[in-house]
Amino acid sequence: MIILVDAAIYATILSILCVGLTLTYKITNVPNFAHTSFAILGMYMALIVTKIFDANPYLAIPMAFVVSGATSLFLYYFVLRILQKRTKSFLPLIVATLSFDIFMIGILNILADTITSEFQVISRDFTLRSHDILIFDMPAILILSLAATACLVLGLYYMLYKTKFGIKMRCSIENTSLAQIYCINTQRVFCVSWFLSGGLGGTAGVFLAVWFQGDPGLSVLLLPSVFAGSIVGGFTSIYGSIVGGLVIGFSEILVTDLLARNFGYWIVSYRPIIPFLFIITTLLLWPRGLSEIIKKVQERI
Amino acid sequence: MNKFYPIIAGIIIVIIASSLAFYSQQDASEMSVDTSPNAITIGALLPATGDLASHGSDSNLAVQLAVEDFNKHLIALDSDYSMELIVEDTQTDPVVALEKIQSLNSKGISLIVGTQTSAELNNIKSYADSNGMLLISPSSTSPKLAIDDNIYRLIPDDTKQGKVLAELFVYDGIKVIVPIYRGDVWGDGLYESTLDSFVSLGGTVDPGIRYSPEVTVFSSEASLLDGIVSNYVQDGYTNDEIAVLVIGFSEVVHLFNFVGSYDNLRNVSWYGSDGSSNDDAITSDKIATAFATDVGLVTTQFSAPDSPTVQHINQALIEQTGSIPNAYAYSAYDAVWLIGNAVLETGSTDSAVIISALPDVAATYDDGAIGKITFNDAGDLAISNYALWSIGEDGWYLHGYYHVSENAFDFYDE
Repeated sequence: MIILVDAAIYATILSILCVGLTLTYKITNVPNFAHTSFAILGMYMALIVTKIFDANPYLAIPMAFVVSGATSLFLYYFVLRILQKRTKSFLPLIVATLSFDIFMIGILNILADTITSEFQVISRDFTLRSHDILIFDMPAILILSLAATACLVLGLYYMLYKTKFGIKMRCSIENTSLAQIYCINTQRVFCVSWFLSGGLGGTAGVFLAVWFQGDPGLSVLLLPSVFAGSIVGGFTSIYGSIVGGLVIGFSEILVTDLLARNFGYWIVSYRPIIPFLFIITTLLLWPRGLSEIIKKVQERI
Repeated sequence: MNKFYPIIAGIIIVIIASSLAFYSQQDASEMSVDTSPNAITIGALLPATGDLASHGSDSNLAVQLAVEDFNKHLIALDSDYSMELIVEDTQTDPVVALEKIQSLNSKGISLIVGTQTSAELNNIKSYADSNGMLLISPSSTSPKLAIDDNIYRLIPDDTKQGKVLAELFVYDGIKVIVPIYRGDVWGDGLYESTLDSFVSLGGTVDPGIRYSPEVTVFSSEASLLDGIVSNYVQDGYTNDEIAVLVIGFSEVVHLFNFVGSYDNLRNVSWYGSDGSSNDDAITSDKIATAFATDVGLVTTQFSAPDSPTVQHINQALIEQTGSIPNAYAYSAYDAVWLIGNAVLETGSTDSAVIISALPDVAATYDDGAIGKITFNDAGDLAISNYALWSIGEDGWYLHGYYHVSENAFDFYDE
């Protein structure tokens, strides 16, 4: 039971991150390798709110959403948008996001050092788990991360299918040129999407801070799992990415546990391989991932 | 409006670049090296960040204190020499440690105190050997590094600590040990030496769980550990006969956050090693402190005899940190003095000369914090007693001692 709770928390946080990654890929065709660094930025917002302002970590969510969202928007508007105008090649955009990730790790290291030197707060390998609260005798992180994922599903559905902005967004995704002919400001749509993507990353980061060891280098360790979730979800399906994130999150913990019990505990130290196995298997056998299954289900409904 | 965007972007980039340049400038100014012939420049490779940052911080302060004291000593001797220190943060990361030693070498620094961990030392050993650099580690204990090279270690290797842990298990009536240990050269070494010692004393050691040093969440490890302990309970062992041995650094804080949810793991005794002994990272976390107190965590670490030098270091470091320093701080302090004394003895700052002179210099160094320093053939401290640490309401306290010469324990009340 305890491990199920742990797995559920990890899986829901991963889902939120996968949605952000898929959103920007779907809209601008850029696989953002800097996405997890927005989450780590959110972790540090939680650390600042908790340790410096002595408040509950969850109060950092609005700040984390805005700061990470703004950083993501900066990446799109001042780097990727300009590159997209200059080249139609895919490669420079990937390299740009990778470079931005390295840049972000540097900024996060400076932030961590400043927090330690100015406020004498442990800012590397930190955890805020002891600052979590109980809701209905359950850790708040479980309830809130599940609630955040549920809100994400409903909120995205409402935004995409029930608002004018959602219609503009879907039009921009399907055919950008045609959308521009119909006077849709596609740049605004893209900017909002990148801001939203970064904001979701920042929000996930606050949850991560309560459950994970926070460190500037964590973004690199998280990246394979987030990409695996998005790829399993089809990489272009928002709902697929939610399911993909859940599949990877539960698998990383429960499959490791299962394998270790049956084949030996030495497997535990090789847990990071699991997301890579999912990426390889999905790309080789089901390149469109779970999105195909979800599409069939949607068609039936 | 659009034409202003590049200007705004430019301003933001300039601000960020200026900030980075400011920090780089700060680092560079702190690292300017005195190249005069009478300068004894020592490099320190210690972790200010990462899993052993807490211990690294104490060692860093002790090294700075030692340099300050040695310079006073030089003035008292009316010597022309002066000592200076360049500290590099290894981040408890073997890869970063290699980058930092290369950086020190490029500045012409070949007399080095560090590294804090065996994994880091293992990664930079070849580089130090091939470049003729002297390394004195205050805390590396892996038996795999107990070889004849340019490295001296002011601490006994873990074959001794493994024996102390095994003796402690026997003393406490433990029959089965379930280890959970860090998968690196240090964790593997201590696990093996403890296993050998305890098995030779008639105990049982489960293969346990070896975790990756990069682990960020201990869900699976905690669940599996619970399963292993549960199996031994079902096999008829009582809770008093089963113990968990955790071999790790500050990441044990996160492990304690996860294992506290499992009843089986709360009902057995827990032991730890030097990696987590007297680590403030544990006592600064409420959940980890509560768990460690509940299970009566006892950790082992080599100890220094009480002496005026130890009291001097304690006084200086307590003023700065508010707590008793880790025992590695005493080794770090002595490492600086050994290098300084070797330079005075030989009249040379050449690392090859210092390396060969060090055992003789150590033999005549009587005011050391860690007592009489005798190196074995591998250049490690030959013998030392061990302190036993526990956590109470007021934080870490000295639980007892293991006297090597008498093969006996002394226990104290909190």
